[in-house]
Parts: sequence; structure tokens; C-alpha cells
Amino acid sequence: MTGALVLEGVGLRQEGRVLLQGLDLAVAPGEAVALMGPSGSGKSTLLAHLAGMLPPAFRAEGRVRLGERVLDGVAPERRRLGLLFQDPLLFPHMDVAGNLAFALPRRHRGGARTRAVQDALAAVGLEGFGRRHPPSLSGGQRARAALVRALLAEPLALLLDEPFASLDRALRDETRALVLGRARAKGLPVLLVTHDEADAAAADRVLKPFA
Amino acid sequence: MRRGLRGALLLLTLGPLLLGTGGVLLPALGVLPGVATAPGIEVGLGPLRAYLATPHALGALLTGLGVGGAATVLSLGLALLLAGALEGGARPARLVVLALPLLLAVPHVSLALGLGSALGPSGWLVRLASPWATGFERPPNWPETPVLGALPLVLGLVLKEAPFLLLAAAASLPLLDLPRQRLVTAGLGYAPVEAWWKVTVPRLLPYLRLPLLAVLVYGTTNVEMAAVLGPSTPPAAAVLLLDGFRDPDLAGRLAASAGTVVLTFGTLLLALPLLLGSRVAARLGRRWRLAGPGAGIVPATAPAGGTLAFLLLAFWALVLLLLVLWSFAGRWPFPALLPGTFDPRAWDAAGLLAPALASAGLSLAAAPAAVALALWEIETRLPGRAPPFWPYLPLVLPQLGFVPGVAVLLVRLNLDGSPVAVVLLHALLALPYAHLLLDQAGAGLDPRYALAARSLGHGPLATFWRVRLPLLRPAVVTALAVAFAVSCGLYLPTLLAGAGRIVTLPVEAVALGAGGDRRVAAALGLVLAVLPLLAFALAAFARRPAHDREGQPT
Repeated sequence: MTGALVLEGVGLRQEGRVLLQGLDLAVAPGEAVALMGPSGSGKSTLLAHLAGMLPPAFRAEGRVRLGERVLDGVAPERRRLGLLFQDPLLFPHMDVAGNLAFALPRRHRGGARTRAVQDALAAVGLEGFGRRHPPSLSGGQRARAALVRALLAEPLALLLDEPFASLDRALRDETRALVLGRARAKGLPVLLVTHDEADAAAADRVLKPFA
Repeated sequence: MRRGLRGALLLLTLGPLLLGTGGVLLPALGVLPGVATAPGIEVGLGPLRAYLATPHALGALLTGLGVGGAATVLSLGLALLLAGALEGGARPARLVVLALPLLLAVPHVSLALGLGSALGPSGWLVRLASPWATGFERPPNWPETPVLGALPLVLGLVLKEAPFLLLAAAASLPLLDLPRQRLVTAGLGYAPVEAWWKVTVPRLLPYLRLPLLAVLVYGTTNVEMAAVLGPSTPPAAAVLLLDGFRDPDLAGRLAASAGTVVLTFGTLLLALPLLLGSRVAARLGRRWRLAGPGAGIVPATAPAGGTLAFLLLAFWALVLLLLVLWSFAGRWPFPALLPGTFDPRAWDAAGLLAPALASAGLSLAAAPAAVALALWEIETRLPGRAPPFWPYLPLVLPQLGFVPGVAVLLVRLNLDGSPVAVVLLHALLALPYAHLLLDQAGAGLDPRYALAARSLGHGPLATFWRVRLPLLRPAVVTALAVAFAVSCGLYLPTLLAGAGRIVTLPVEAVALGAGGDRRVAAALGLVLAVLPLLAFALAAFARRPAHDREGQPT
């Protein structure tokens, strides 16, 4: 069972410029919280910090917990945070099934691996797309493949960086409903940064913490 | 972890460079660590005096510096003319661009050998005009004069370095956003060629500093081209100095060290106007540039560039053709344009196979090593940091200024002639090219791929091997081919660090080319030219993305 994603007094600065200060926030399991701010305000930087890959030009303060586990100082690959970006960032040198298998933890072996990948594809309407290469997929298909890839890694929380911004209007609503629905069903805390009002409206709570 | 990895990398790369440079600088002052003193040479200015006392010492320095300086200026001028003609749409200039990979891949030594049989009293060009125009029934007995004698070497350097500068210019042009600039200049009434000279060239020159410095340093200090094409009285300084470094007598080595230091300082003095040159040229050219559109001789530079492009390609074609002809020639009396008889003797495998295998093996090991060093630097650099300059040092440090020092060190360590040491030295000298290619590709790679891989549960090493490296594959393949080509052409490091035990194609070809069997030298030069071309062809094949080759499954 997953716990809440908790930020305690989290701040960000870039060479003395304060981007964010003293953010206290607890995202409960199954809850979606949207952080809003204009581009360049430090939204993506905050997510990079939570994921454990803050660019060296930035300084962060405060504490980040996932349930009882403190994440600060933990290697990015051990944090178990699922990331979705504006671009799906499917690895172009692997086919779709390869991208998904890349995310699947090692304890799934042999036939179970293949089955898990097939099931995951089927669950988002991508049956038979495993051998396709990412560039041959439509925008919506790529977004769905990126979602199942993130979920296959068995994350304990989801971080979304304007993940629907590159999709057109109709597709955006559909994909947003899919992502948030899956996260809710799995009881994952979701932290979403965006400047799209519709994204904010779909979240349970909206904050505007950026300086 | 990161610090340790970078420290080890610095030790591996800068270590040999610094120790090697020290191994030339200290003897230049008469200090030989580990050896008490050299007989008859005092510490301080003794080695310099000894150098100046050798025959032709000053003349050789002037020849080396003059050749390098002239070749650099002419190469730059030719490259700019060609690029300007390209802007104007001249057809031969476009052919040069098509041929560029070939011109860059063929090593200096091969070019020198082929050009050597085109020029000179019995060369193909004199034959072409004999006897109908010149009246020569036998090769003329021209007295060698210092300036005329140096011209073949200058020409050889220009034929090789102008394409290199053209490539460097082409690599920098995207930074200048030419398509939009063209709209502006055309709107103001400037024809493409005029806009090239008045707007683009002044903006371009600062980007060409490093390549120009590399061309100058190579021009003044290279041994391999000077030995084959250079004048003999006085020889270019590098040839004289190499003789000194190979002198079994310590005094000779001390003198050569001092001479190398003087040659390096002279090169630096020549480099100063070059590095400041763009600013000076901008000042001097200001009135001309601001005189308004549609002026003077500028439009004529496009056909001139086209003609020069044609000449450049003609010389290259002749060079390669002569290598083929000489390698198969039997009797070839003056003034016949073709050999009288053909004789495959030079291709007798026994003489060619060993150096060809040595070259291929050495470069096959050195190319991945160079790529590994480059990736090692790029992947351990803190994200967001500017690339360091030190990987480019081997490009601008004269080989003559550190390779002899490395060789002495290897002798001390009992590693002279060790393949591992020679491979590392080759990798170090190919590093600038590998680093340039891979750093650009790495910078163009979306850093969020790595972030995605890490958040999916993969550590830094798996992220490198399974995501970053495959995504960099086209650049890695190109870098491997270029590093292979660079390594194939290296002469001095193999000669000195190989201690006579590692005899590659250039080592053997230069030995024969400077007054040995011309037919075998031509065959060696030809094989040497083919090796990098093979690597480039393989790279072109391997660079295609994986899903293109597998087809597109549905």
C-alpha cells in the first residue's frame, strides 16, 4: 500500500533567485494536486528535484517523503516515482514493447514479462502495437504508451509535467481522464504541474506556490 | 565516484601530455632527469647554442615557420573562396562538398606521396609539358632554391587543410542562422556572394580560431609531409629536429629539444596575428564593408572560387591516380605520361601485409579507445557545465613538442614499443575529433531521456548503456570512423613510441618515400588511403537507424 507524497518546507533557488519557498503539501493516495504557474517559474525544476535529478545550477531545501520514507539523498532509480512529461519520451531506439519491458522490474521473468507487457498494452487499447517503433505511433498512442510504461515500473506516486500539453483538445481530455483514472484506481498520489486551467479543473486541489 | 572517474581520466589524458612536454622542455634547458649531465653541454642556454650550431639551423626554422604560415593563410583563403562560391551556387564548389569526406579521410602521407610524383623535375606535370612545350628530353636539372623548394610542401598542406577548414566553417555556419540573414541582406540589395564576404565571413572567423591554430601548428611542425615533399637544403625544421631526437648522442637530443621550443615559440608568434586577425581584418575592412551593395571585384570571387575548386579536385584526382599508376608501374621513362610497362612487383604481399595489418590493428584498437575517452569525459561532466578545453589540447600542441618526451618516458618505463602505449597515444591524438563529434551529439540529446530511465528504476550505468549510448549511436559510429582515420595517418607517435617495433603504413611509406622505392611507397600510400575510406564506408552503412534496417513492422 502506498502512502502520501509529503513536501515539508520545500524551496528552490537558482543562483540566489528564489523560485519557491516553504512549500508544505501532502498529496494523499488517490488524490491529484495541481501546481500552477507560468512557464519558467520552476515547475519542471520542482519535479526534477522530487525525482532526484535537480540540475546543478539550482539549490533545494526542505524535505520530501513518500509515506514514511524520506526521499532526499535517495538515488533517482530507487525513489519509485513515475514521471510523465509533455513529450512522451519513448526511447526511439526500442520498439513499444521494448520500452515497456525496460520499465518492468526484474522479478517478472520469462513468459510473465511478455504477458505483463501485452496486458499493459491491451489495457490502453494498444494491442498489437508492441513491435511498432515510437515514431510510427500517433500522438495519443504515444501518450498512452508512455503512461503504461510509467505504471509498469510500479511507482508509488506519479509526477506529471504538463503531460497533456502536446495533445489536441479532444485527445487531451480523454488522455487526462485515463491517466488520472488509472492513478486513482491504483491509489497513487498525483502531483501535476501545469499552466492549463482544464488540467487544474480536473485535479482535486489547485495551488499556486511559485514566486 | 564522479570525482574519482574524472581524476583517473585526467591522469590518463593530461598525464602523457604534461610529462611529454616536460620531457622536451627540461632537456631544452640542459636538464635530463635521471642522467647527471650531458657531456659538453651546459645547463641553461647550452642546448640552444648547440642547436644553432647545427648546419641549416636557422634556415630550417625559417622554412618551417614560413611554410606553415603561408599554408595556413592560403588554406583559409581557399576555404573562404570555396564557401563563397558555394553561396553563389558555383558547380565545382558543390563537387568539393561531395568529395569532402574523401579529401578528409585520405591521410597526409598518401597525399604527400602522390603529390611528390606530380611535382618536381621528373614529375607528371613537367612530363605533361615535355618535350613539346619545354623542350626537355630528360628531367631538367633545376637548382633548388629555398622559396621554390618549399612550394610543393605548401601546396600539399593547402590541398589537405583547405577541405578541413571548409568542414570547420560548414560546422559553424548553422550557428549564424544564415537563411534569415540571407533574407535581410538580399532585401538590402546584396548578392549572395557579396553578403558572404561582407557579413558572414567576419561573423565566421572567430569560430575558426581553433581549427586555424591546429592547421598552423601542423603546418610548422609536422614531419611526415615535410620529409616527403619538403626542401632538402635547408629542410623544414621538423625534419631536422626529428633527426636530432633520434640521434643516439645525448647532445643531439638536447639540441633538438631546444630547437623544438624555439619552433613552438615561433609558431605562437605566428598564431598571434591569426588569433587577433579577425579583429584587425574587421577594422581594416570596415570602409569596404560599409561602402554599400553592388561594389567592385566581389562578384568575381564566385567564378574564381569555382575555378580553384576545380583545380583542387584536379590535383586530388591526379594524386590518387599517380599512386595507382606508380604502384603498378614497371619501366616509366621521362617524359612518358603513362608507364611503359606494368609490373605488380610492388604489390608483392610480403612487403605490404605487415604494415597494413599493423596499421589496421593499431587503429582498430585506438578508435574505440578515443571514443571511450571522449564519452568518459562527457558522461562524467556535471550537467549544464560548459565543455572543457583540455580534450582539444592534442590538436593544438605540436606533436614534436611532447611525443619525443613521451617516448623517452616509455624507454625509462621499459614500455617503448609496447602496443598498449602506442594505442593510448593514438587515442589521445584522436580524442579531439571524437570529443567534438560526441559532445555535439550529447548536447543535442534530450536530458529527460536519462531522467525517464532513472525514474523507471535504472541506475546511472544502465541508463548510459541502454539509453544514452544507443541514442548516441550515429555519432559514436561517425566518431569511430574519424578516430580510425586520424589514427591511421599518425606518423611521429608510432615512429618514436613504437621504437621500431611497430611499423605501420605511414612509418614505412615515409621511410621509402623520402628517397626509397617509389613504387612500393606508392602502393603503401594507396593502401593507407583506402583504410580510412573503408572505415567511412562502413560507418555510413552502420549509421542508418536500426528500425530502418529492420523495416517497419505493422
